[in-house]
Amino acid sequence: MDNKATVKIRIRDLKLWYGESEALHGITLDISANSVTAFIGPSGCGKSTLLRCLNRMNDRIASCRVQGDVLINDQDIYAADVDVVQLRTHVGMVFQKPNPFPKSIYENIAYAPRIHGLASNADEMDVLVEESLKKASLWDEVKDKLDQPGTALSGGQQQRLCIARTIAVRPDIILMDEPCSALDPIATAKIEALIEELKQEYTIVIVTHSMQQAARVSQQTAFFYLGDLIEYGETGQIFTMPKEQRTDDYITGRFG
Amino acid sequence: MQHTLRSFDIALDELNDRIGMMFKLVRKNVRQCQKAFENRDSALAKTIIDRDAVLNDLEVGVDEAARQLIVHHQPAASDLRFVFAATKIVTDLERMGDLTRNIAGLIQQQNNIEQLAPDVLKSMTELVVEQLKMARRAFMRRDTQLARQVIELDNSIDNLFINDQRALLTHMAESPELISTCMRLSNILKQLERIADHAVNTAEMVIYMVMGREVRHISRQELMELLGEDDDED
Repeated sequence: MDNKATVKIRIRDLKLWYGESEALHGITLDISANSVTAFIGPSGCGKSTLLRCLNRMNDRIASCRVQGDVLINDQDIYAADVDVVQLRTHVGMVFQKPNPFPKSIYENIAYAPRIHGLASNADEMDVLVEESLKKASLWDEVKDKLDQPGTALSGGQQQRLCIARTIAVRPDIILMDEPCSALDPIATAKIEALIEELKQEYTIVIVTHSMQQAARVSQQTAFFYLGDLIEYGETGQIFTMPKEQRTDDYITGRFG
Repeated sequence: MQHTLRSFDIALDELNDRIGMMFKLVRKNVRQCQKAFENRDSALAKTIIDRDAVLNDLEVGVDEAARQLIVHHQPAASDLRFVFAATKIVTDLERMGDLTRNIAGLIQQQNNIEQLAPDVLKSMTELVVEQLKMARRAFMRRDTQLARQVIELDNSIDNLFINDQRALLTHMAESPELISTCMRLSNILKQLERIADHAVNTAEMVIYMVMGREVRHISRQELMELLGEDDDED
């Protein structure tokens, strides 16, 4: 890891249980600001579980118990006084399947800012919607049909709409859980190009099953296996000269 | 451990075997050059020259196999280093093939050079053959210590080359009528010395392939430190 990079997220000895079953065995990891960090590993390795710890999405699972620290901007996000709704505006999330609200394109973006009072009048909201759509590289494609339903867009456009929706509440971290797995290669390329741009402004953590995607979009890669962090390092190094044999086995397709 | 996808292993093995075959053919060429020289065997020299086409085909085949491997399997980590090293090594092997072809050509023109210094070529050939044997083994076994020996042996070859050149110069000074003959012999030795340099390149790529460390332009001392051995020469 580059010591000069600002650490945005500090994860310390993080353990997580689903009921009796321990899914994360004490993960310690620093995530740099304004960079893309990829979590890779086979199904069940804990990568999505860890991602969900970063905005406390696991709170929604009754049997889930977490121990250890997650510090974002040096603030413990599991502290008793943390407002989880506020946390999730700072730490946005984009899911595997695009999930626009059954509302107009405009309303998809405006909905959360309105709740959070981020725009004081209609003009300000218009600006916020336009900015968010521009940042998500969707503006040019939808500017003339903002009143049409978000669900009428193509899959790739819907995913960018979801990214715009996330951006609209001014997060500084964006979590992406396999954001391209339901998309065709062209839509995927557009999302990847967008990730490249977004990292100037946001800290991005992406879970992906595509190792080529991890290699293309990320600066750091973490490889997980059976709830353990096996190796974490600069992406170029992980994909050319991993230090751990298990990482090499996984990356080269020699697993299982 | 094998790949989950069997065809990936087959493709890697194929690349590996072709390189191994090229090492063998180059070594055979070097050995036969010596024989052709000793026996003034023009037919054997021609066989060596003709074999260049086989090496050229193998080179093109390795490149194509590497391209297909990249397209089909997107190799990463140790596989990526292997494919990358293979495409570098194959270029050196093809060049070595060209150099043996040059030697065979010079042998075809020989008049009385074998009477001049029959042992000169023999000692040099033996060292280069030994070096090529080690280089092939280093590649096939992914053995960095053997690769180190290939690099070390190059020193002995260089020293022998310098001594031989000196001896030839003396011959030329003493017997001006032997100048063109000596020049030709000197040229043959030069080709062998260059083959040894290419063998060193392949050994350096083996080290890269195994350790992920680029050693092409580092000092001998750094190399020996990297490989965990003290440099006891120089």
